[in-house]
Amino acid sequence: MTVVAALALVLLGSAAALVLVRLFRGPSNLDRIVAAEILMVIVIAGVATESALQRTATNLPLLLVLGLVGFVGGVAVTRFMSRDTDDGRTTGSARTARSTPTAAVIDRGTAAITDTADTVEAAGSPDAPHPDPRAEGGPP
Amino acid sequence: MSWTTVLDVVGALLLLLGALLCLAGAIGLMRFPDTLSRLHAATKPQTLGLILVLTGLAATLRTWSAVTTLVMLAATQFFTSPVTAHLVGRAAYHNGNVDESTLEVDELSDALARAEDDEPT
Repeated sequence: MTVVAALALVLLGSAAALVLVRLFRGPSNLDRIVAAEILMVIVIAGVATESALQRTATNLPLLLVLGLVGFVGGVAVTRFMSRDTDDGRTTGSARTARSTPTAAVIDRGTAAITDTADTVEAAGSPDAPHPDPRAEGGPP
Repeated sequence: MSWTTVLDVVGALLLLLGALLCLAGAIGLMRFPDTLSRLHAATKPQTLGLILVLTGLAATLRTWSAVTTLVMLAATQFFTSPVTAHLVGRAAYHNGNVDESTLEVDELSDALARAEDDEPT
């Protein structure tokens, strides 16, 4: 049992070293979040190996707390990372920048200078009940 | 060879397997090129590796209070790790961290395009 536990701890230690390298290098913060989740799992596995070696159950509440803290921390940081995508006003993303409400208003505002009827067509919603008053008001 | 010896050996083997799976997940996290593929490597030790380690610990301890606590921990991990993985994948997609040429199916952009069409402006 001692040999097996030592071997498992060596494996977990090298895994934790690799995860720490990923945590340091990034490149984005989302990779760091993923690495932190794995690091928490490795810590849980290490504490479990330790208590299997000692044959004691005193560490089990610690395992539960570690799991819950890892989950809450990961979700909180991820929500913080994706905070500005909730209202559809993402900045700095090519995929969603074209569909922000601000961009649509600008498109319709410039089109309203020439022709109001084509504006609604160009906005892709011919049955819009209340067009934006700024688009209808002509050039500012 | 008594029953307790068998359980001890099984527990030690499961602990070793779980540690090995943690190492495999760490290597995958180190070597994969993309946030989504790193997420794929990362969720393996989160579920299967942790289950193996906890089953090994339960086979070593062999008391009912320990087993119930470990089952509760495993259930918590099973319910919470997909939530984190989903949030991280969604944030990666919205931040533009996804290499679209590596995707076989991209249902989220289709759904976003549909939602955009239906959106009353």
